[in-house]
Order: sequence, then C-alpha cells, then structure tokens
Amino acid sequence: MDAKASRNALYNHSWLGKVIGIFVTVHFVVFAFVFFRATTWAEAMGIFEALLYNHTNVGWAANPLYMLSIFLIAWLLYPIYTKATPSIVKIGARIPKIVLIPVIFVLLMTVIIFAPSGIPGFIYANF
Amino acid sequence: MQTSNPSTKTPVSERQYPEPKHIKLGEIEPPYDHGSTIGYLLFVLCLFAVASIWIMQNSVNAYFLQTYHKDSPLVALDKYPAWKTGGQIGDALYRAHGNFTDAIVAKNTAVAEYFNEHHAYTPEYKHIMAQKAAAEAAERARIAEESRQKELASQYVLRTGDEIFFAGDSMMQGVAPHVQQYLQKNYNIKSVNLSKQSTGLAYPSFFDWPKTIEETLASNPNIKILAVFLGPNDPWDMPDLQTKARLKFQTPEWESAYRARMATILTAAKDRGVKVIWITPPNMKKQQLNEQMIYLNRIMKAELTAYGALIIDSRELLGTSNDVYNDYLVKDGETIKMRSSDGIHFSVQGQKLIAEALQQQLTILP
Repeated sequence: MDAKASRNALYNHSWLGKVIGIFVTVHFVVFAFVFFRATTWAEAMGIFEALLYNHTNVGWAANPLYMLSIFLIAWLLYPIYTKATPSIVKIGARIPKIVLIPVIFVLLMTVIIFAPSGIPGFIYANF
Repeated sequence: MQTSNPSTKTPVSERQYPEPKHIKLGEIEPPYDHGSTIGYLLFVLCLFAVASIWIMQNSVNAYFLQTYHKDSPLVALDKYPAWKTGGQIGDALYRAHGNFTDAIVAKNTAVAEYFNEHHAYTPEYKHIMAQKAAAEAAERARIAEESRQKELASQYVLRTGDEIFFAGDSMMQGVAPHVQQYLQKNYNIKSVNLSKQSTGLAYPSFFDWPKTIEETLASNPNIKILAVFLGPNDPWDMPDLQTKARLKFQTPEWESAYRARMATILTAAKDRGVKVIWITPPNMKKQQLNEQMIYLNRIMKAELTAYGALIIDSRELLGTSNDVYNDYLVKDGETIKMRSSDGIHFSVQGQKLIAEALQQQLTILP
C-alpha cells in the first residue's frame, strides 16, 4: 500500500468510514479554530466552557440559525458546484458574448452592492 | 502470400468524393489568435470599469471628497442627464439592498425574540430574571427618590427677614429651641415656636393645630418654613370633625381623617408658599406605643410624600431604623444617650441631634 492509498484508507473503506473521516476532520478544524480565533489561553478556555455548559438559560442576542442555514446551503451546494464546474464553463462558452457580458456584469454589480463597506478583516491577517 | 480476392480499389486517401450538395457544414472556428483575445479581454475590462463607475458614481464622488477634500473629477459630467441616470440606478440598487438587509435583520430579531420568549429560559430562571429586573427598577426608583428628596431639601431657603415656624408637641418643645438659638445667633433669623405639650392632631377641641397654623401663617407673612414634629399624643380613638362619631384607631376611617387633618396643614402652607419640614416620631420604649408610632410613621409618610413635603425620619437619626427602641446611639465608636428615662422624650444630645438634622436641611441666604 503506498502513502496516498494509506492516507485515504478510512475514506475508501466504506460509507461509514467516509462519514467518520468527514466528522473527525470537520471537528478537528473547528476545535483548532477556537485557538486560532482566541487571543489568549483563558479566552479559548472560556469558549470551551461555554460550549460545554451554556445550554440552558442562554438568550439569543441574534438569530444563529440564519448564518447556520447559509452555511448549510453552501455546504450542500459545494459538491454540486465542483462537479458541475466544467459544464458551467462549457455553457458559458456556448452563450453568445453579447448575452454573457451583461450577465457577468450583473453578477459583478451584485457582489459590489452586497460587499460590506470598508476593507473586510482578512482571516489570515491575524498571523 | 496472396489473398484470394485481391483488391482492385485504389487506396482511401487517394479517392475523390463529390462535395455533398444537401449538407451544409458549420463555419469552421478560426484558429486561436492571441492578439484579438487580449484585445477582447481589455475591451470587456474597460467596459466593466466604465459601467461600474457610471453606476457607482455617487460612492466614487463621496470617497474622493472624503479623501482629497475636493470635488471628484466625475462631477464635471453631472450636467449630462445620461451620466446622472447611472447614479440614480446605483442609488436605487443600494436602497433595494438596504431594504433587503433590513428585512433580514428584522426577521432575525423576531426569531431571536421568539426563542428568548418561549425556549431560552426555564420558568425558574425567568422568575429569577423578573425578580432581578424588579430589584433593579426599585433601585432606580430609590435613587430617583433620593435625588428628588435632595432637590427638595435644597429648596428650604431662609433669607434675612424670613422666619421659621415650629409646631408640635413636647418633642418639638425640646428640639425647637436649639434650632432657634442657632438661627438667631448665627444668622439673626427670627422664629415662631408655638409647640405645646400634650398636643397633636387627634383632639382639635383641646388644641387645634390646623387652625392655629392657618392663623399664624395668615398673620405672619414672614414665615417661609414650617417645621412640624408630633405624634405620640395621637394614637387614640378620635371624634370625627363633622359627625362627632368615634373613629377607632388604626381603622381606614381613622387613617383618612388623620390624613385629612395633615392635609389641612399642608395645604395651608402650600397656599402661602410656605415649605414644610415634617419630622416623623421616633421609636418608643413602651411596646404598644412603639407599634402605634410605626403605624403613624407610615400614614404620615404617605400623606407627606403626596404633598412633596420634606420628611425627616427621627428613627433613622437615632439609629433605630429597625424599629427597635434604643436609649443609645453608637456613633463613631461613641455611645451617646439619646432618650430621657420616660422612653418617649430626648436627652439634650438627642434634641441637638434632631435639631442639627433640621438645620442641615436649611439653606441660609443673605
């Protein structure tokens, strides 16, 4: 068994292996992100404490379901999008340029209008 | 080796076919030309840049003004209606975006509120939160009341030529002379002291304080402040002023009659612009009298608060806020005897303490 095959052994084993692999990977990233985002050790511990114990009598300051549902939609669309990318490119190539250019311009305008004002804090700027 | 049927045909490549007349082949794509591709890309990018600036012109102008403190060069184009149209499109888009995001925020707030209302807290926790909120509200009310009292206190002003009027029973007879002497000696302010032992509001046939006060205020317009200190002679059944019916002490009827008598005094003072400082009775040694004074304190306070009169609670001054009588006050580590041996009246130190509290409320202006 070569290196690449052994790296993907769990993923390729069965559907259950696939699920476990995704679950562990996602949770490791999420776990690591707490330390990434927190500025001090105490702050990170505070987040873990809240994650473990703040399950009753905690009011919502905002609606967390909103972002979660957007993440969920993105999560579901992502594999479809990656698989469909070549076909999207092909469709784009077939559309007459006189139609394609306005469509792309409208997409650009949408991005500009929805962009938050100012320079967004880039995640890696924390390093 | 030879095949049994040697071919007589010529090789395929050499064969000639006639062009089929009924089939039209599509145009063959021209070969890739680097120069025209670059040119096309540049054209599209420039088109996008111009169109973006056309639509975003107001944002560009605002940014330019903010950064360079002069009008942006695009303003020169404002005279062309076609150019302004782009700005209007941009504004409309931003308005639509604003409405859209506002709707999302409103929806999210509604969801969060619904969750907080119905699912976030256990009933017990809700109860605790309600109690906390009530305590905070009470604290706020207390602070507001405190500042209101302070403001009232600052209004008790005596100027040269003004007089202060003392009304009350034997308790006042002990306290008033100290204040009188203090005002006379230091500020040359005169006072009227009509306090009389065994008097109160219960028996107008014996001594009518409301009438006396009204007459005194009427005859002496120099009086600007009225100080009242009475109570221990009042905890009895008393006759109604009109019907002469016997009102039983501590009944609602008694309370309303007593408060009406206080109101007569307070109204008379108010009508003549005279400020009232009312000292409520202290705790008493005799258990029954003590309880009666606690009751009297309560109804006096209710009536005085309604009139905005300044209340000096003598129980607080004497350190008996817990309503338990004590001969002594412990102050700055010193034990001082405050009361006389009858458990009703004050020692000289007690009299002075109450007199000083009264003096503190007075603002003397030249």
